[in-house]
Amino acid sequence: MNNPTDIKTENMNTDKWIELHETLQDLLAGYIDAELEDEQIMLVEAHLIGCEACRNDLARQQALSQRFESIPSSRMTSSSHQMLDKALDEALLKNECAPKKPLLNWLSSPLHFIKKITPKFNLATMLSASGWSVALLLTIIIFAPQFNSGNTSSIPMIQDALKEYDEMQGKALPVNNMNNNKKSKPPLSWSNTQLLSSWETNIAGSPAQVYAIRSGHNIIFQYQVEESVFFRNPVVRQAIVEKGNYIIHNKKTDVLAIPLSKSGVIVVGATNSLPKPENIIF
Amino acid sequence: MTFLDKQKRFQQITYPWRDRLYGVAMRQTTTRQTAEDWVQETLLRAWKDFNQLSNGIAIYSWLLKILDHVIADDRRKEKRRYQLAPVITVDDKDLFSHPCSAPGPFENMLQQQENDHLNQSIDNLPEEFRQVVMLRDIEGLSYNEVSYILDIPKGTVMSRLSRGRRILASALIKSNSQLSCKSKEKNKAIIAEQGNE
Repeated sequence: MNNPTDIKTENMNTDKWIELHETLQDLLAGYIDAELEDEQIMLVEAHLIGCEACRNDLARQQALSQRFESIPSSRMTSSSHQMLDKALDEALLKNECAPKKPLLNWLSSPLHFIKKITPKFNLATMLSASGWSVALLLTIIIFAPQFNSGNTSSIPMIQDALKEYDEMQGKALPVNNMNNNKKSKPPLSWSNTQLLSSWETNIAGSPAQVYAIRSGHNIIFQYQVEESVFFRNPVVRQAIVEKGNYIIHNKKTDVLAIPLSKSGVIVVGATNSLPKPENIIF
Repeated sequence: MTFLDKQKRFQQITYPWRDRLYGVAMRQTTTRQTAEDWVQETLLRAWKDFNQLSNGIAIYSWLLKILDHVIADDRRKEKRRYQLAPVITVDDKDLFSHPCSAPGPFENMLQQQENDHLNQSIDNLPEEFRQVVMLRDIEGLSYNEVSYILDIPKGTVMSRLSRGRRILASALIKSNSQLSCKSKEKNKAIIAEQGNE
């Protein structure tokens, strides 16, 4: 005959088992999909050893999940894509052309600019500060952007390329004998181009080769940079993954970055003077 | 960034996901037109919020979250109600009493089911389970992504998925056993007819 204490302990264990059995049922999906913590995995595995109902449920969930993975998705027809393109273009343009508040924009942009460059800036700080030096500093900060050339980028290799491109606008191109120069062929070419000059430079702290090319009536610079420099910035990497190149448009210049097999090329030229990527010969 | 640059960038990052968005939309409606309208509305809302998109968010999850809101808004207009969710445990009798409820026969039965029938079964699930099963098992998203899209904790994703799959299994087992009963009766009737002749 069983001791009453043993029966009580047995009942308590049964209650605990039932409670655990009910709780763990909600974790079974996570066990299949490897989304559980180590501790939860141990609990589930210990329970599965003694519970056929949960083992069967696990097997059924796994079968369902695998079967659903094989169901193909519906796709839009090409005419639906075209209609969507048209509808979106119209809607986006309508959205962009909505009337703005010019006065408010004018007032907010310098403040926005200050906030951007001085994150801790606030109006109270400005009002509490005194003296002409503060006023002068703010004037410079607010109006300085209007005097730059408009060629900017936060990516060091692009910054360097743009800086040199800007500087070279007021200088003579280096003279070199293209026939004997081993750098006589630019890495990228397209129709109606001719190499004018090539020289060594420094981009993002690493050596690079510049090629000045005549393309129709424009002079375009190609900077061949090391692979490690080219892929250093995450924005550039992401753009290359998504569409094969990285393009930015400044006020006066366009920049196109294209990867080659063991290097990368940054192409800089006046606005709308660069070739389309699909017309470039590697 | 100029308007044209922004527009181009927007289209570059959203274009690859259009078909998948449409696929998800089509699972939640019977008409192509409604699915296309939902996708269009999703992209328009995405455009409005485009400036707020940060680098850490996966584009597809972001778009799916918007699509989910678009569909919810549309259905609210239709006054479609959420069904009362049944609770089915692993000890439910339907998961034991039918021959095809054991793991092996269940898997065989699933392989024989038409895709349309399976899609219909998912569509019949109560809303809270349907969304989770669809996003995880058909779209292949992680629990974190499903949690982000539906604004529910990861633990809730897990419990809804466990329960949703269980409800589905039970429904499929029941419908299959009803079918096999009918075909057995039909066979018996044919045999009886042949005997009379």
